[in-house]
Formats: sequence, structure tokens, C-alpha cells
Amino acid sequence: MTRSLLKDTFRSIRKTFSRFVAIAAIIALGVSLFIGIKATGPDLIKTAEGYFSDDRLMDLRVQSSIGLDENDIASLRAVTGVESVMPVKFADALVKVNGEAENDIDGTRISTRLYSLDPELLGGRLGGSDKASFLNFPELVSGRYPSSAGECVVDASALSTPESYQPGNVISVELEDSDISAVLNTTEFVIVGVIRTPYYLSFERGNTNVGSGKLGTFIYVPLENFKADYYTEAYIRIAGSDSFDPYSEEYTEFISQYASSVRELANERVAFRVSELARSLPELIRSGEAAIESARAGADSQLSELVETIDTLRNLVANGQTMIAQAQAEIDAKFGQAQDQLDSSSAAYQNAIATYQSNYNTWLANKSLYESKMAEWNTQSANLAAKQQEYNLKKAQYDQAESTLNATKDLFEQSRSVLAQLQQMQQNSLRNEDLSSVLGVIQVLYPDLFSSISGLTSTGMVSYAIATITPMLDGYAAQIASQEQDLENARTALKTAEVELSAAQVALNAAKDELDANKAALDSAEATLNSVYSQITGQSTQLSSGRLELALEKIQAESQLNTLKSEVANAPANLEKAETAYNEALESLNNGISQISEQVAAAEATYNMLPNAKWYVYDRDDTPGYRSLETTAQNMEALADIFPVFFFLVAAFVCLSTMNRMVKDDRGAIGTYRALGYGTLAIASKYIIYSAVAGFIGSAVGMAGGMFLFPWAISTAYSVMYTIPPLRYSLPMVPSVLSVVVSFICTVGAAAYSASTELRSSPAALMRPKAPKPGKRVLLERAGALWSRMSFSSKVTVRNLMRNKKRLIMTVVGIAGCMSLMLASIGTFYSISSLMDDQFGEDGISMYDVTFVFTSPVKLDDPSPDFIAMTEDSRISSLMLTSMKSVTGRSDHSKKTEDVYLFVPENASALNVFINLRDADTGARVELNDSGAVITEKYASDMGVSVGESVTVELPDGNTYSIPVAAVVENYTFHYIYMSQALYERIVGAKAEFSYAVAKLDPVLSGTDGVASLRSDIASEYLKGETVGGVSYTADTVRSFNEIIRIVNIVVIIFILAAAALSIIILYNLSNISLLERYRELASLKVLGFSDREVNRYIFRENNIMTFIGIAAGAYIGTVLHRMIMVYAEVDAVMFSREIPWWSYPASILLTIIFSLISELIMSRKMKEINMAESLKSVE
Amino acid sequence: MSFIELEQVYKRYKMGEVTINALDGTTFSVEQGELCIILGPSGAGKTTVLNILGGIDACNDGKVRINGSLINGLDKKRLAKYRRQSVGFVFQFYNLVANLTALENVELATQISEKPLDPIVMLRNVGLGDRMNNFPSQLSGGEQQRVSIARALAKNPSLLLCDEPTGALDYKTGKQILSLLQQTSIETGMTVIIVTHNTALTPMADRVITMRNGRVSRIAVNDTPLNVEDLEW
Repeated sequence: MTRSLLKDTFRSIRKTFSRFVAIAAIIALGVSLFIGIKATGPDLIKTAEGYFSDDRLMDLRVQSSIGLDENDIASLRAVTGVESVMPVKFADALVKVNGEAENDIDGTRISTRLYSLDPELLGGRLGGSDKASFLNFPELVSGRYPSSAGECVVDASALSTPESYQPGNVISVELEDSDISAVLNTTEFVIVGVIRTPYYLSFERGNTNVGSGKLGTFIYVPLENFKADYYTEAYIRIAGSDSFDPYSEEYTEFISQYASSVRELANERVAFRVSELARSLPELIRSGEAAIESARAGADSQLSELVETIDTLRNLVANGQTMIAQAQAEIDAKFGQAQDQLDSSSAAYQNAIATYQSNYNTWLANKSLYESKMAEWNTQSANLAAKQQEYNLKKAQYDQAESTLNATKDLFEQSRSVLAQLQQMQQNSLRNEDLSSVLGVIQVLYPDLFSSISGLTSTGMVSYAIATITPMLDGYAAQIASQEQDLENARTALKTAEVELSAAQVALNAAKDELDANKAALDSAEATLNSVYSQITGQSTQLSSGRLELALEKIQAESQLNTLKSEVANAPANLEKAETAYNEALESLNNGISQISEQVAAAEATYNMLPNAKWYVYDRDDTPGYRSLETTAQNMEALADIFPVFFFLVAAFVCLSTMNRMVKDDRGAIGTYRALGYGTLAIASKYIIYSAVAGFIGSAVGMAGGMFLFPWAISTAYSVMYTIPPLRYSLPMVPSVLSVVVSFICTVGAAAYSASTELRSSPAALMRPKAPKPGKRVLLERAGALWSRMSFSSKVTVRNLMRNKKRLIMTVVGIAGCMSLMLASIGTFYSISSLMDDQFGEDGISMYDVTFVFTSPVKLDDPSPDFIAMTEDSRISSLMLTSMKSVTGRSDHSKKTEDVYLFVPENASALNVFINLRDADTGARVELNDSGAVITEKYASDMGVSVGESVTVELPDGNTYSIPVAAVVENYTFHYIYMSQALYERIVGAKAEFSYAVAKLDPVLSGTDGVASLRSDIASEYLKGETVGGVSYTADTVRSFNEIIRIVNIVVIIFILAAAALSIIILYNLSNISLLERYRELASLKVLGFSDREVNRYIFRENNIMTFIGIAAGAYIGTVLHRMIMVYAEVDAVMFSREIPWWSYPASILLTIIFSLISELIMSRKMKEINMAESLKSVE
Repeated sequence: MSFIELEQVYKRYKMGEVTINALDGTTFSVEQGELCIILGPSGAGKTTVLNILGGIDACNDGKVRINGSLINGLDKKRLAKYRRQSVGFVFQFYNLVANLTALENVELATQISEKPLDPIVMLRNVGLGDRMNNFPSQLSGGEQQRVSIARALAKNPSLLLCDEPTGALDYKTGKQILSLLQQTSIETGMTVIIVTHNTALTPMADRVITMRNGRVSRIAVNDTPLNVEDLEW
């Protein structure tokens, strides 16, 4: 291969990119769908297997009706082959979340199973010291494990776990009619984590004996919460069980031997425990009864006190209003009297005030009189003072005169004595000593003289002094006389003044007396006034205090009344409170009693059950959801067998023809290469490389998409139903290799083959324009009459169609493929969806609403009271006992075995009330009679038997019986062999035992909204008794089936989408090829002046005819394909409806037409762009 | 006013960075009823001119008038109408629809035209009266070209455009075809334009337009065209 050839190759990819992409896309789609659908089932199973082994799903489960003790566990451990035994305790209860009752979608209370979580085992598992002992390990999804008694973890299932199960919320558990604290130490649990466990794979939870009978959820709480000293059940794992595929026959066989060993052990262990309990239980019962007595005694005093309070309050309630009226009257009377007294005191007070007023007036008069007298006295007093003053003046004048006189007289005397002395001296002798004494006196008396004489001689002195003094003496004498006269005058004046003063004094005294008298009168009036005032004040105080006192007393009286009133008003409420308190006290007593008596009753029940005590040994098949996972996987695998193969074939065909045409269109280039001397292989390799690249890209994308995309999409859908770890993706080897090989054959093979045929021609022939395929008369033209009537364009169309048969076939097959894929997938969707409706719907097969399972066969001659109640229950409109045994059906033609229910109704003629027996072929009603059994359609076809032949079944006892077949009836789920009692007896040789009853509920009741609660009522009622062991509702079965169907339908929706995608690609590819081939022809038409619309019409008329042929063929192929898918996809137990609903034809036709219109639109756009000038220039 | 007028017509192709002028200001006119030959070597732009005249290609610049009306700038729909009503095309490689008989190929054209001629008459006129029901593959090249001419003429166009009509034919057959075209032109007064690189044909034309490199290098009007039968090459 040269570089230019390689260049040419890749350039041709670029040039025809849309074709290249179309091929790659078709391959990718085919491969991915095929691998994807093939991979999903095994991926699911593989994931489950890993999950079982990682989280240690138990192989066997032992449940005992009387519990398991440590010795039982030890014995189980000792069984040969047993690897580990994990005992657990559980209790079932109804749930409240944050105090709100949780309801299921059908309206019934949600129940939960509380499993014990052994901290030791958990520690071992988490710590890694003992990874093996914890069976059915609850793997943490989020949050944490509980670390204290009041914590729990909840399950992760999105479908069965209520939304309120959120971490942080509080789950409280209770029982409807008994106290759960008899079983549990704690009844409230905070959610701390979310877990999943392989034991609960799907949303199915199994049954319970509380609530509606259907277990809703499960939680794990620490082991310490459980009061029981024994275990409820034990999980067992057998050594080496992991080496088998869990869903294989080998596994089932392997486990069954150990199941038998455990069952053998059961007899021994049960007997042992029964004898132990037979001793201990009566004691327990006796002590319980004693406890009840003491509780009663303890509560008595509290209760009687409450009774007293209640009586008082009752009285208050009855007579309160009368008491209020009485008290009011008393108050009114008492305060009326007091008021009267107060009023009279008030009048006296008013009088006193009047008296005071008059006295006050008197006092005022006296006061003014007194004041006038006082004025008079003041005048007199002033007069007296004046007189006194005058007198004093006169007295002073007199005293003055008197003293002046005395002084003068003195001076005279002295002067005379001095003169006398001087005269003596003068006369006598002068002696100095005398002189000096006289001089001393002169110095005092006559200083002037003394100074005048001091220079003189003593005699002079004396003479001079005598001279001087003698005249003076005369002066003195005169003076004395005048002064004596003056004194006399003063004396007279003084006397007058004295008289006047005395008169004034007398007048003043008189005024004073008068004043004093008035003053006394005034004072006495004032005293009177004061006394009256004090009287008033006293009365006022008295009055005020009287009023105050009265008011206080009134307030007091009224407050007492109000107290009474409020007491009366509150009395009813208080009474209620007291009564509530009483009831509560009583209830708590009763609760306490009932709790004990429940324990006693439980003990009694256990005691009574002892004779029937039993171990139930279950394997994984009894694990809810274990088998349905397998069914889901099988369903998906089965679906993968037909549809993707057909899909792939269509895709392959389109690739093949595309490649083929590509090579043919390229003959010019091939010729050129050959002419240039390129080898055959080199030339072929161009096309091989082109196709290989497309095939490789397509396969690679397809494998990746198939391996991840489809399983991912499907697993996302089923994650609603199954709570399992993330999917383990794997590439299924055989389908992968197969699909890749087929893709390469279709692309590379087609290219190589086409190239090799072309290469056989000579280069010259290749380079010559290939003789256009000659036009030919078509068969239709022979029918001259018809042909001549056809329009020119229809003739052209017909001839064009017939001329290029390859293209016709290719297009028709392509469109037929699309159409059939779409039709089949829509039909499949419908058939699968309608399965439940076919079986349980309005016009379905099973008409009963509920199945009761009895704990032991009903004795017809001596039915239990519960059963009698059931037959008389008005809510149950009809009821029929049946025997239903799951037996193994064996085919006489092959080694095939199938589980089938042997169904014997108590009353054969009434069977049609509950089950519509319709002939599988004719739809005619079939009656069950004694001549032969009626078997279901699918079973008949699986076993290859028809009416008149017989079927072989193996009963659990190991015996095989052959049963003649009288009729084959329509049926969609499970296999049934219906037999009359007589026939059963004749064939099996024993009477049928009726352990089941099917029933229809009252249509009026069940038709209303109350249906859910009615169902749960019935279930919980009968489950309480000992007769009914299980209640199963058709509605629940339908729901769980529908979930499976929903998942399977996801696959079908993927089919529909894939078919649509393939259709678009194929139609686009076809138009693309067609366009390339007819480029010249179209250009010619355009040159002739055909408008775009006319060109479209010219081409699309052919296209449309091919599309319609394709649709017609597709409708037929699709119908067949649908039937094939249905037959193939059915798992053993179900039969899908073979009918395609009428509307899926128009639906898929419409889709096909839409897709072809889309491709025509693309094509017409391309046709508009045809370059006439270029395309007509020369022959390519 | 001439029947066909081209005025400064440009046709440019962009080849990456380079722009090639297939027509570089082509200007010429052809009178009604003339048989005009456009002559020139390969790549001179003669086919481009023909395509533009036929309305299957558009020029980038200039004016193209046919019978007085401008045809450049018409939308797709009007162009299709123009082709359908006014133009007959004859190609070197006939471009017959293989799946239709000779008659049907002619009918294909008459079906869509407004004033078609009788297809049978047309085929008889081109000498194929007895081969009408044969498919193209059953006819020789000359016969196919005659069907092609019949198809073009049956639409009764006012303009017949022939692109190397004898290019794939032998001498004798080619002569027959050219004769047919000349005859048509003379008898019906139809304007016929023949593109060829064969200079020997020029004497048969009323007008010869020689092109070189997208330009008209010479226009020669021949007042006495020769009969095709008299030509030798």
C-alpha cells in the first residue's frame, strides 16, 4: 500500500464523512445494545454474588416458635459443615417518627422489625479481628452505627423506607393492643445511620404479625434493648458455600443436605427446650400474678385522694352559682347598715360645724371691741408718757437750781474762811506754814489769783488776796440770794407737773382695767371656739375612719366573692384535670398490670404452644427479594436474546449494503488504480481500511456504551427496587466477541467481497462508465389496460422502483427493520405492562382479593372459632377453602421440570367465582369436573401436553402421579393444576387438606377509600388468632410484580429509543446513498426545468412507496418478532400476552413516517444544493 | 436590441487564496434565430457562458439579457421557470434518464412545459420514429443524442444550448447531429448556440464567437453560412 493510496483512503473518509459516521453509528448502536442488554443481567447477578459473599448472607435461617437458647446455638454450631452461627433477637412493632404515625402507601400503619445489633460481633467485623461471624451484615451506607441503647440504623431501600427515616429523627415503636415495653427496654431510637444488608435485597420485607401483616421496614438497635433471654432466630453459614454460584442448582443441592441436618437436630433440641420451659413457665406465670396484686394495692390511696378532690369540684360545679348569689346578698345587707350609721354621724358633724361658725362670729365681735379698747389704752399711755417727760424736765430744772445754789454757797463759805484766815494772818503774824496751806486752797479756788500772786511776797500775797477776796465775797452773797429765788420757782413748776402726771396715771389705769375686761371676754370666746373646733375635728376623723373601714371591709368581702366566683368558673376544668389525673393514674396502674399480664399471657401462650413447638429451617429462597433479583436478571437476559439480535441484524444489513454500494460507486477509481498497476490487495485494502476504521470505531464506542451505559441506566432504574452495592461492570465475552466479529464481517467483509468482485473486471471495463443499468419493462406493463391508465409519473416511479431492485430491497428492509423494531418494542412494553392486568385486572384470571394461610389444615367437621368468624364476616363477600401445594411437574417429553401449584378447591363448582377458567384457545368458560384436571396454558406448552393427555407431578412425599388433562385455560402468572376433590382423592389416594382460603372482599367496602384500612383491619384481626398464619393480598402481589415489570420495561424503553435512533440513522443513510447514486439524474431533471418541489416529488414518490412497503413488511415482521420476544423472554412462571395492542401499529407507523420525513427533509435540502453545471459536465 | 446580450460578465472561482476569473468581462450579443458557435480552447470559459445562459450557473458580475429581460439575479424558482420555458439543453453525454424509453424521456420534458410540441412528432423529426419505445441503453450514441435533442426541442424553447454535442460521437454521427441542429435553427427560427473547440465547424454558423481566457477575443458574423453536409473536418 502506497502513501497516496493511504491518503486517498483517509480523504475518502473525509469526503464521505456522513456515510462513514452513519456506518460507525449503526455499528455502535447495534453492538452497544446487544452487549449492553446481554451484560446487565449477569452484572446484576455478579454484583449480588459479591454482595452475598462480602456481607456474608446466611445460607440457612432457623426460627423457633419457642425461641433459641444458648444451648440450641451451641448445638447448631456443632453441626458438621457449619462454619458460623449468628443468633439474633428481633421484635416487630408499629412505627412513629418524631411522634407521628407513619403510614404505608396503602394507608396501613407501617411496621418495623427491630433486629438486635451485637456490639461484640460488630466490633469484630469492623475491627477486622473477626470478619466472618457477623452474618447478613448491615453495611453502613451513611451515618454511623448505634453506640447507645437509644440509637438505631435504618435500611436504605428507597421504596420501602419512609421519607421520614432521616438521620436525627426519632423512631418510636409501639404495638396496637399491647405494651412493647414488655419486650424492649427502650422504645425510642434516634436514627444515626443508614445501612443495607444482603438479607433484604429488594423492597420486599416479608410478613409480620403486627399491623397489616406486611412488614414495612427494619431497623437495627443495640442488643441490650431486648428483654428476652432467648434468641428469636439464628443465621447459619455453611463452610464452602461461597464456592458455588448462589443461584445455581449446585448451590441449592449443596445447602439442602445441611438443611436436613439442622432439621434433624431440631427434633432433639425442641424437645429439650420444651421440657425446660414446661418447668420454668408456670413459675413465671405465678410470680407475674402476684406482681399484679401488689401493684393494685399500691395505687389505692392515690386514687381515693383524687376521688375526694373530684367530689369537691363536682359540688362546686353543681352549686357554685347559688353560693355566689348568697355571698353577694350578705355583702349587700352588711354594707347597707354601716352606710346608714355613717350617714347619721355625718349629720352630727354638720351641726357641730354650724355651732362653731356662730361661736366664731361672737369671738370676732369681742375681738373688735377689744381692739378699740386697746387703742384707747394706747392713747392714755401716750399721754402718761408725755406728762412723765414734762415732770422729769421740771425735776431736772429744779435739781439744777438747787445744785447751783449749793455750789455758790460753798464757794462763799470757803472764800469766807480763806479771807478769815488771811485776815488773821494779816493781823497776826505771818507764818509760812499757814500761808502755804492757804495758798493751796487759793490755788484750787482761784487759779487766776494764785498766778497773780505767786510772785508777791507773803505779805503782799495776803494783802492782795484779802483785797481781792473781800469784794468777791459780796458777789457771792448776792448770787446766793438770786439763786434761792430761782430754786423756789423751779419747785413750784415741779409741783404742777407732778399733779398732772398723777392724773394721767389714773386715766391710764382706768383704760387698762377696761382693756383687761375685754381681753377676758375675748379669751373665753376663743376657748369656746377651740373646744367646738376640736369637737369637729374629732367627728371628722371619726367619719373618715368609719368610711375607710367600711371600704376596706367591702373590698375584702368582694375579693372573697371573686375568689369564689373564679373557683366556680374553673371548677369544670379542674374537675376535668382531676378526672384525667385519676384516669391516668388508673391507666398507669392498668398498664403496669397489663404489661405484667402480657408477659404472663405470653408465657401462657408459649406454654400452650409447647406441644406444637417447632423449628422452622429456611434457606435463601425464603429471603425476601432473593429470587426476584434472579427473576429480574433472567427477564433482562431473556429480553436480550431476540431483540438485540434482530436489531443487530438490521444494523448489519444496512452496513453491508452501504459498504457494497460504496465500492460499486468507486469503480472508476478502482479501474484507475488497476491501470496504474496497483495490486488487487492494495486496492481492496483501501475499502478494507475504510470499513475497518468505521467498524473499529463503531465497535469500540458500542462496547464502551454497552458495557457501561446500558447497565448503568438499567441499574439506576432497579436501584429503586434493589438495595445493593454499585453495579460491577463486566464485558460479556461471548456476546462481545460475537458482535465485534459480526460487525467486522458486515463492514470489512462486505467491503472486501465487493472490492474483490469489482476487481475481477478488467481495468478498462472499470474505467469505462458502467453501462447504466438498462431500463426494462416491468411486469405491470404487460397488464396493458392498467398500465395505460397510469399517469406518466406513476409509470416512471414504478419502473424506477423495479429497475433498481437492490436499492428497493435495501430500503424496504431498512424501513421494515425500523418499523418492526419499533412495533415489537412498543408491543413488548405493552405486553409486559399488561401482565398483571391480564392476570389480576377487571377481566383477568384471578378474581380473589386475599389469600389466607392457616396454621394447620382446617377441619371441616370441627372448624376453629376463627374460621367460623371468617365465614360469617360481613366484610368478606365470599370465601373458599383450597388446598394449594407446590409440586414438581415433570415433562414426559424432556427432562424439564417446573414448579406448579396443585390447586384443589373445596367446592369445584364455585371455583369460577374466584378464578376465571377460560379455554386458552376459544375463551369459552371451563368448569372443573371429576374427569380430569384443568391446567394452565403456559404449563401445557412447557410440558408439551394437550387436552386428553396427562401431566406428571411429583408430590413432596416423593411419589409421582399422572393426572389426565381435561382442559387448558388462559393464565399469565405461575402454573396451576386445578383438580376437583374427588379427582385428587382418586389419583393421590388421600383426602385433600385445606390449608388455604381465597376470598373476595365486599365490593362496596373494598371499592371505597377505606380499602387499605379494611385490608389491614382484616389482616391484623385474623393474624391475632391462632388459626390464620398468613394473609396475602392480591394487591400487594400485583404491586411487587409491577415493580419488577417496571424495571424490565426500562430495558424495553431503551429498545424503543434504540430502535428510533437506528431508524433515523438507517433512513438518513439510505437517502444519502440514494442521493449519491442519482445525482446525475436529479441534475438532469433540474436542467430540464423541474422545480425543487417537482424534483422532490419525483424522488419521494419512490421513497414513499418504499417506505410503505417497508412499513407493511415491518408490521408483519414486528408482529412475529414481538411474539418471538414474548415467548423467549418469558421466565418459567409467567406468560406474556401474545397480542400487540392495535394502537401500537399506528404509533409505530407514525414514528416511522416521521423519521422518513425527517430524512426526506435532509435529503431535499441536499437536492436543492445540487450543482447542475458540475454534475452534467462529464461522466464521472 | 439583440436576443442575447452579455455585458461585462464576470465569473470568479476562489481556489483557496487564488481567485480565478473564468469569465473576465465577457461581452457579446447574438441575434434572434442565429446559429452561433462559441469557439475556444479548454478553459476559455465557453461552457461557463453556456451554463450562465441556460440558467444553471450564475455570474458574479455583469448583465445577461435574454430577449430583453435580465436573467442574472433571478431566484432559484424563477430560474427553474426560465429553464423550463425558454431553454433547451443538449449535453455531450446526453444525460438521458436510463430508466425511461426514448419517448418517455421526451415526455419527461413536455410534461412540465407550457406549450410543448408533440413528443412523437419530435422523435420522428429527429429520425427516431421507429425507436421511440427503446430505452437509452438500446440506442447508439448518436441516437441517444438525437433523443436528447428531441427532448430539448419538445419543450419548444426559444433558445437551444448545446455543449459539445458531438464530442462523444463519431464523425458521421456528429455530422448528422449538427445538421439536425442547423436545420432546426433554419426551420423554426430558434436561436441555437453550440459550444465546441472544433474550428472546422465555424462555417456553418451565422456568428462565431471566439473566447480566450474568459474574454471574447473575436466575433465574426458569417452572412453565408455553409450547409453542414458541405463541411469536412
